[in-house]
Amino acid sequence: MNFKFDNVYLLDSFVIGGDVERKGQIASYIDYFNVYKEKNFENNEMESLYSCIDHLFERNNININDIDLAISGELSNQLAISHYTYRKLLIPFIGVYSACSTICLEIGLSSLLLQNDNINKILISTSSNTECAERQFRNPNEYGGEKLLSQTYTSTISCAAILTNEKSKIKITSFTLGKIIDIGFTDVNDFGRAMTPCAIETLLTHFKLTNTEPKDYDLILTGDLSKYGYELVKKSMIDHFVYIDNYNDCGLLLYDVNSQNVFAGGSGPGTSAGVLFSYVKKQMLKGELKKVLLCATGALISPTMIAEGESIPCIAHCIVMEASL
Amino acid sequence: MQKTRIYYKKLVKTDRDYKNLLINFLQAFFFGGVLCLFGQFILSIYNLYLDEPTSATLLSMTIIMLATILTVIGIYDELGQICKCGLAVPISGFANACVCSSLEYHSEGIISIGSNCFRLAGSVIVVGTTVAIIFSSLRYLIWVIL
Repeated sequence: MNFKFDNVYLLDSFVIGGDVERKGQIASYIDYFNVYKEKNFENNEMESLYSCIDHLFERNNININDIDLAISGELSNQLAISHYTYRKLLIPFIGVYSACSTICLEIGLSSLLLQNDNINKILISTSSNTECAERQFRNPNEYGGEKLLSQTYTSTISCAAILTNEKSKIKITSFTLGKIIDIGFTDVNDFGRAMTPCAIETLLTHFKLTNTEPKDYDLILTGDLSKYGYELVKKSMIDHFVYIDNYNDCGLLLYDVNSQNVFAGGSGPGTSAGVLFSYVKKQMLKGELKKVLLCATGALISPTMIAEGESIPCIAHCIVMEASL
Repeated sequence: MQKTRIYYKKLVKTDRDYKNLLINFLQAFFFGGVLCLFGQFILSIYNLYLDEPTSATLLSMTIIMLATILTVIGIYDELGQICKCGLAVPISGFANACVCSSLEYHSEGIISIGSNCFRLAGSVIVVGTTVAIIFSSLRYLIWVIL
């Protein structure tokens, strides 16, 4: 399913990174770095998310009363981080869960809601934190067991953005809603390969419904497929379209896999959102990129289902961001 | 769907990184041996001053203390990445599992710390005790019959 828009624009965005991102490849594009040392990991993530929204409002001289509604989501159980952060901001709220593809779902839903004449500004936000994700989905942080090289490293990034009807330099033109795909893959240490089928499925659907090809875009990004998933998607695209040279992965852009201790690449809802709202946005404002396709993928697991031996269902949504004159 | 499930299954199962398996085994074997050598060294030092049972108990306590301190400092997980399975076996691995689980939940209060202490290590205790009962019963029955 594909939607086209012509009146959705990006007003501004703000990205806060952590320690490991400061040494990454696109560190110069990220707005702010800080390490929060609160009572526990969940408070760290909440402080980071709240601070991000705060900086965003301050930079644009906006008050919370100017915003019509907010959409937020991340990886925590019951979306606790988003709920406990937004209790300080009295604003109509929608919470969405889509694991690591949250930002694309939020942008798509906001664009659909902005077609209504009564809604003018929507605040979207997402966040991820290494320690919180590790503790919830895998083992405690100091556990001595071995981490395999096919695992990905959840980034510590918070980001917030405002989408609006008023003209600005960047616009959102297309949104493809993905389906949940489960091929029976059961290895939980290898989410990169697990999410490859849904990424290929959504990309091919998008190209078919919009009647475009990879060469029509300046940059095609997938969310967090790790270096193993990246190779598989590239191979599949080459089988289809013969030549592709503008494809990259957000998790591989954010970190340097060879020099940093991030195993196979970056992961988490913050990875694709952080790269989109820092690197892609700033390159677009400079004029280097004109049309970018982001296909963020998410593995919709729960620790209970994995312990019971189930396989991994995944979903991917994609959006197209263009520079408007 | 644009492509069939069989296409995706074939695509994803193509290359798995199994070439490191032999090196992993050798690494775990070597570092497990290094830990045992270290334990034997400490035991010899204790044997100079104490009698046999006391020094064996003291050795267990020393290894548990070292594993706990390394976990709390935060370098046990990095050592575990190098030593692979050599550090995951009892008693150092058991101490690490107990301490790291309790550390995670320190902000939830004393009851949560206590209940999470045996989150990862509880299965070792349960299975170990059950198997001990089964095999000692079998041994007793065989002794009674013969």
